[in-house]
Amino acid sequence: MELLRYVTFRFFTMILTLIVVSMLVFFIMNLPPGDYLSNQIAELRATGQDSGVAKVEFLRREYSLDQPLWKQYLIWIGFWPGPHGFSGIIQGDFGWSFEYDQPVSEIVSDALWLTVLLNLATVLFVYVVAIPLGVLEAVKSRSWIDYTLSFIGYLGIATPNFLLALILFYYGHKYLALPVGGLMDPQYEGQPLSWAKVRSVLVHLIIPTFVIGTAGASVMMQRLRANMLDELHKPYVETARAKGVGPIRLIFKYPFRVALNPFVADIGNLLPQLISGAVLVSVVLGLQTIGPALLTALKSQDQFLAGFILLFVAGLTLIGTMISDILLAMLDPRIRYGGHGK
Amino acid sequence: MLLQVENLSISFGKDAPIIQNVSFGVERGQTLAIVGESGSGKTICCRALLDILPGSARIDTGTARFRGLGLDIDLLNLSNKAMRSIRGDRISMIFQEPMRSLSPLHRVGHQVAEVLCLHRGLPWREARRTVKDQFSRVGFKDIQRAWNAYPFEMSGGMRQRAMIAMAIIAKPDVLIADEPTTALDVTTQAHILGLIKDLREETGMSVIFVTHDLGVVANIADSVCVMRRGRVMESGPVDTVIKKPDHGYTRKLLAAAPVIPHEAMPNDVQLAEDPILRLDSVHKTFIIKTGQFFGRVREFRAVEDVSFAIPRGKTFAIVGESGSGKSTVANMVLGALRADEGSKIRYWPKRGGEPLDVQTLTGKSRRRFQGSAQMVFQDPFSSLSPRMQILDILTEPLAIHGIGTRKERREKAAALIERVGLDPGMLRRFPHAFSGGQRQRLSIARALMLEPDLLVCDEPTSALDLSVQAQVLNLLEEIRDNLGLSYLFISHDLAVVARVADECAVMHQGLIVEMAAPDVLFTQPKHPYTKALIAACLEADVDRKVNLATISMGAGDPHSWPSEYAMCGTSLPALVETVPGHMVRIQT
Repeated sequence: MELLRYVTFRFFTMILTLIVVSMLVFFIMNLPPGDYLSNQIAELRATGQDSGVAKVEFLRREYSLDQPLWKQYLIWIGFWPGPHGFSGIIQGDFGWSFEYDQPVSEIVSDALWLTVLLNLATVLFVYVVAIPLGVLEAVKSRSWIDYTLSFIGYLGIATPNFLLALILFYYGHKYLALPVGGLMDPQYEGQPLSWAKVRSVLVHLIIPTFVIGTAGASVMMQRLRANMLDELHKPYVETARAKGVGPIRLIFKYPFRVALNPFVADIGNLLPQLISGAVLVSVVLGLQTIGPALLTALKSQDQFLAGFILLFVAGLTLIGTMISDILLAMLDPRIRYGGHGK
Repeated sequence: MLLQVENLSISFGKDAPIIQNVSFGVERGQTLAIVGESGSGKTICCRALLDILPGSARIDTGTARFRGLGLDIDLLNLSNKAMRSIRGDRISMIFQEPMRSLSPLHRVGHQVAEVLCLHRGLPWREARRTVKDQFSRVGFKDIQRAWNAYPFEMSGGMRQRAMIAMAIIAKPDVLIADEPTTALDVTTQAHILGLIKDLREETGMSVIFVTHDLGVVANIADSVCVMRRGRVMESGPVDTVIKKPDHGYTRKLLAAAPVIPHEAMPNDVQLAEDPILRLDSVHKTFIIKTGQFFGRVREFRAVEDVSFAIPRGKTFAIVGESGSGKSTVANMVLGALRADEGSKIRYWPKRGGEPLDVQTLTGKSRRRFQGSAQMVFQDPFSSLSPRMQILDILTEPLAIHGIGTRKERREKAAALIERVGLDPGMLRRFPHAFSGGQRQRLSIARALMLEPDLLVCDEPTSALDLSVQAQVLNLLEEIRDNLGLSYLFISHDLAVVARVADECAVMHQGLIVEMAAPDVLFTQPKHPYTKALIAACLEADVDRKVNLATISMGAGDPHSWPSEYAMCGTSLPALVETVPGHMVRIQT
């Protein structure tokens, strides 16, 4: 019951935060003088193509770029009627990309889901690799297992993503016949969902997941090792040993549970890190995620496209943080009961 | 013999053995006390029995013959699996720190029931019923609540009860209790000791009681084994060892235990007109949030109407159990906490000079006050930064206050480290290279660097061994007399207070209930709470055994006190001077 109230409370604070973030995103994007269209008008005027100016002027009115900034923001979100009534993000209209001359929703629709998919796969990869190895390292600390894993871990942290991408690009293709480039075979692009398409996507996910996740997994492994080493010698672990708990259960039921907290808290932070870290990799491997689109949009002040992507990433982060907060409250009674007692 | 350990030797890595040829045994239904100071190896010996030694330890020789229920085995020579079935089932263990010995993330009931599920294969439901029975036996009042509670919701005494419940729920043959009451208040200690004693009689188990406290030994043990530096110095029945100790070390241990005076000595303390510090009706209210997530705010009065004065050059002591507000008073005296509106804390830098109001100090005057009032902390292990050399630790206060040149600071540090009985050659070392007693000497040296007039000592010896405690107390007294310091001495240990204090206040739930010179206070206590505290002090004297059950009641509920002392609701009795120099909170 208390937990339910907490979840509701957390949800409302998340919505509030999201609104604040959307304002920040919008105003920061509008900080540089001018916008995509006024730049274009200036360019058209300079080259004497006055016929085009009318069309661009029309677009300016159409997208309310002639309005004051605060009104533009409200129209963009959908709190204020634009030229065609309420039509903003909350109504499902993400705006128009001037750079691609297409609605934003069409540009990002596929990329959006592929991004989410790639990131989920990476997060999963990070946890699945880091947790068992980190625990193993701590339990076998100062043995050759520990040293070998630490060495591999540091290699993983130190190798730049794009380099790793290029290496795997070559060897994965040469020896394992793993497909490289793109997130699916070209023949499935724009096709409806089918088994073959899913399989193609999954196979294509292997290398990018590995590339993007290695550094994160290495860092987490080292941190988990350190946390576990702190916990392993605490008196409550001794107590559990002294009551006859078996070795595996002893580790996972007691110290591991305590050592896990920071990693649960990290779920929220992991997402934006992965997305920004993945931009370069996406460019190198030619992945159709929103990373490359964001890069272009930011360069050309394509504000609706960039704004939407940024808002989307912020939304993912906030959802991640909310999930981790709720999980923490469920996992750790000390957090649930509000921090009195040590 | 139920358990007979012979010739046990243990070493760490390649070093010389730290346990050498230790032998001891315990009969069924008896209590063996293993006594020794820290580093004597008493804990290691017990851990070896359950094979829960640190990873680098190695058992070189020895046998531990255990003849429990249908068993006749050598504990030191068991497979991992066989050992796991012994742990918690036939032999169980209670640890020293109840605060940290339970998993913070699991409910207490669950942790206790786990033993039954592991060893008896009981289904959860049945385990739950047995656990609840056990909970009522170890003295939980609200059993349902105890079952559902998390460790951090319980006090230290409650947690230790839960630990005991966990240790005996499988009806073991041997209970190993490793300093189970060291971290507890005296009345709680009496309760836990009484509980272990009763349970032993009830179940017929044997108890191995590891402790450094000879008072505890005299009160509960049947036989004693005195250890020092990994060797057994003396062992035998408790009467012989405590009354007619053969070994010099045992005699030394007995002599080092401070005692509460039984007879009044002439009292020559005059309450001077020259106080260094004076508190007048000091209150402190904390605001606490309760409940999950959206707790209601509650006020908690930690300190209420505290007034006293510390005479210049004397030691004023505050005794009380944990939660009595004594440390809060210390923090307010140093200006680290702000007292409530209307409280007055005044400090006289010079005799007859203008007093400083500690509450309203700002900027410069605050700094000057901080220089002249310093603190010695309880835990010498965590109060010195492990990453700083002793020289830096000692000179840091001078650097902060901008006193002297680098060279002068160094010279001063060297002089002070010698003053507290250590060698100036140690200045380049790090704190981990020192023992507990040496670290407390360093803490004292650090506090003295700014040449304070007032030293607040918050339980300065409670983390130390008895013989070391005596040395540190000597040092404190000697420094006070030679440097003309005044002390505010906070302690829960009446015997220590009886030794060092010139004037002593007893605090209970934020109130001073009685205040007098220690000789008067300990020989003619008036207040029921003071009486209970004194009764709960265990003495290393087998002829003066106390009734653990009676003293574990403590002073009982304040409502049950005789009507003139009763503290209920709004009718708070005032602190009255019954005889000159003896104040009691009593209704007149």
